[in-house]
Amino acid sequence: MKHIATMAAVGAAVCAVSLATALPASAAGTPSVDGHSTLAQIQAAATTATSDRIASLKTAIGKVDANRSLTAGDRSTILARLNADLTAMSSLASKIAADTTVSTALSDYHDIFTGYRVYAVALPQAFDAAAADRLTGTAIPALQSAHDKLARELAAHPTKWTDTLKAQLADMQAKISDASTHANGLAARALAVTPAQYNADKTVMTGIRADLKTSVGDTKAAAADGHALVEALK
Amino acid sequence: MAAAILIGLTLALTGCARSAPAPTHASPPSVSPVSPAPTAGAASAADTSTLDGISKDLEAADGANTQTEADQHTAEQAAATIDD
Repeated sequence: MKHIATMAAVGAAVCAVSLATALPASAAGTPSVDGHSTLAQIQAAATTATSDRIASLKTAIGKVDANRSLTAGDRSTILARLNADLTAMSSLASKIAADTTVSTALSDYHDIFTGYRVYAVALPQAFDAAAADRLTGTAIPALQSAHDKLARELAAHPTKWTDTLKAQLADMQAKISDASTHANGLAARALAVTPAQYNADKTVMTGIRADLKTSVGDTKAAAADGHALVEALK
Repeated sequence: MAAAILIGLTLALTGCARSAPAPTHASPPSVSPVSPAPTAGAASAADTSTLDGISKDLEAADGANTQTEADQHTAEQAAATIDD
């Protein structure tokens, strides 16, 4: 029995707005399909593949609807894409079930993957865009506000600030600036990727994910600087 | 006789001094090297409020970071799912 693993958000404060989605645990249970498969085998495999993707897409759509960190434009783009993929999966499932030849069924079966790349592109780009929007819309502005207040504290009470604390404040700003550099435009880059681009270059999302990782690392480091400064100034 | 009177007066004055209530003038404030001056005390109250505001900003950032990591993780998990 194929189990669909529900992806749980990491961290203590799991929020309903995170884009957790139902994902198949692995492809181990998926029947292998090749040129030697019978029509029935192809149709069975197609049923599994489309069902998995439909379930994952529905879960993701629900989370996108609830996500308040996404910009209105990005939410609209993501929902349009996910809903289009959902319709396509349902259509393909019906079509393949009605196919009468192996060659047609096999072609339609491959289209499930190469035509839509639900797991390789559609879902990751939605989650990456949500992450990027949250960085630029919430995390970075909050950190900048904290930094600016600390800077005013320094200006008002300079004798309370050691050279070490001043250096930590400078590091906080450097991390915020770097986070911003890596996060700006990231949602747009993620949402611009198409299945065709992925088919041509399977590393097309790699740079986007790396920039996201760098930005998140920076925001966490900046927050740690801020917390340390607050403690030192109490 | 005069000496006795003088001694008596001295003793009386000393006794009065000892038994007298606290002088009418206010006690000098205790001055500690670490006691903040009145203006610095006002600044400390403002600092507390400022630090609270900074902490709120940092908590908002922490919450956003946690959710961002969750989305990032979910994206990676989706991408790791075989799509062929």
